[in-house]
Amino acid sequence: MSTIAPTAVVDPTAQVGQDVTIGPGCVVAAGVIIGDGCELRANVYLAAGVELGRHNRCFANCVLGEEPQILGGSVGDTRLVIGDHNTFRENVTISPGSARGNGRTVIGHHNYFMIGSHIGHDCDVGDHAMIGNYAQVAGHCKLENHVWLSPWTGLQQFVTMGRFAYTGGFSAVFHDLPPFVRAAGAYPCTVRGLNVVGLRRAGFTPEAIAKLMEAYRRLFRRPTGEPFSRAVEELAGQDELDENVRHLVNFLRRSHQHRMGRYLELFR
Amino acid sequence: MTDISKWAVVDPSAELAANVRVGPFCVVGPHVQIADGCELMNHVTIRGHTRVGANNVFYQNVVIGVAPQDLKYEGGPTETLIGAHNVFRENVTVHRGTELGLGQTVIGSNNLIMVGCHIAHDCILEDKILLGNESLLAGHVKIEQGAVVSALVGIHHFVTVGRYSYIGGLTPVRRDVPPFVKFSGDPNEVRALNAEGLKRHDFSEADIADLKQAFRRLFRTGLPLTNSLDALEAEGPHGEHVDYLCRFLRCSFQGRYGRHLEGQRRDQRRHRRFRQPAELRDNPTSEG
Repeated sequence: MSTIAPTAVVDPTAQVGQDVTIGPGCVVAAGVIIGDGCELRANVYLAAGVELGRHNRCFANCVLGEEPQILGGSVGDTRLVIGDHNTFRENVTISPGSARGNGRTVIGHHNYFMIGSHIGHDCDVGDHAMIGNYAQVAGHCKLENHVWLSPWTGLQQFVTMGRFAYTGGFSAVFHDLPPFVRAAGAYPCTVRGLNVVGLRRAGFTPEAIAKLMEAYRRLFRRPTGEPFSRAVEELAGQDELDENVRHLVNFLRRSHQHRMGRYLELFR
Repeated sequence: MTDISKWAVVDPSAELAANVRVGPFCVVGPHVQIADGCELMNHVTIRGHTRVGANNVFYQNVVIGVAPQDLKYEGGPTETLIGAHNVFRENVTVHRGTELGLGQTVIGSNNLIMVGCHIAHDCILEDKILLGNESLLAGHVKIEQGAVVSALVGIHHFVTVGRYSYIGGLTPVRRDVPPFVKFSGDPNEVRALNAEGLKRHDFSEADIADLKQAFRRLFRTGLPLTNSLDALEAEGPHGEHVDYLCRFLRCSFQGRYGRHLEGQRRDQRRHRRFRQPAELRDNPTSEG
């Protein structure tokens, strides 16, 4: 049984699932799909083209699916597709896809978006991401599973963030961020270490972490003067490479294909 | 045809021109004037002595013209003036002026103010400016035409951002940003000429080449900037844009801490004592 506050404005063409709570002052546009068990606190705005999965929570003043911030505007039927069990805290803004991009922004499951965070148009966010307060993700970015953005992190457009990557507060990320590492800083943002705490919390075995640490030392703590590409190729050439290390190496090789280290920019 | 949602609260003394659309849960106070063709989507609040020009678009949760976050403010009827064809994205806040400042916050025309930006009291924004997500302007900041401010930039009070300049993301701007350049990082640094921005604003090849040469002579000689500026100015006029760049740098040197407007501030030390904000003081002119 859904509860819709008398002061909520819900378009009659919106599809509202079972056990949905819509609080006072919420505005739901035409054609929006809200899955079972979702909770919209107060003053939440869902624009046309939003598909919410099940059991998502939206806190006060969230704006999901409003037109992307592009000069010249966006035409066409673009969408914002959201999975299940996500939390959107106050003032979160997420843009839908744009006509010039792939036309949809996709958010996976079990993500937590803290106050004021922003996900730009055509982004692809995986599962279990933690997006800190006021973290800003520009258009066309890809966040793999289990990423962690600390407060005030900014991602430039077309950046890919590998799985279990972590940024410190006030980081400005202009290039692809490899999986499993901690990075921090602005001008430049540099890799600071392996995200050991994140990996341990996610249940990685000590052996798997040790293998990643060995690869990390080889790649990021190599002797002075040795080119990065040589270290990557040497690791890639090894037989029986650990699955995670293989993912890390493949990620780095992909990023290196682009002049500025942003793999997705190749598909502009 | 003006279209006001039945859920909106519009004061009867507010002046709304033709074709203004006001969405649900908007609040428009008395003394507000909104010109032709403006659109207030939903949950927009416009209060204070605010004049809004034609064809502006306000997205969700925008707050315009409320009292400034300034302890010097006395609660007086200071103004907020907004030109035409601006877009204010979600959660933008614009505060009105203070008595010891200009007494008004001014925003020109054709600006794009992205999600979560804050424009504080007595700021002046000229035209065709782009403010990226969560850029925070302190009080008395001036931004000249065509400037691009990237996401998560914080601008110190009394800073002037020169025309057609570009500020990189997450930069804490503490001093004036010269016109026509790219500026970023902590500590703040002038990085290069903003050639891409100049091309996008239809500067001619010759103008860009002149600016590039002047840029090299000013910032790439290894001499202190004052010396290279003296040398360049001594050669007489160089054309409109280069002369403007020189004049701007000279003004910044004359202010304090590299901020031209800091030299013109009208408040004195006694005004900066800690006291209660205007809303909490016994003051009949205060209006939220």
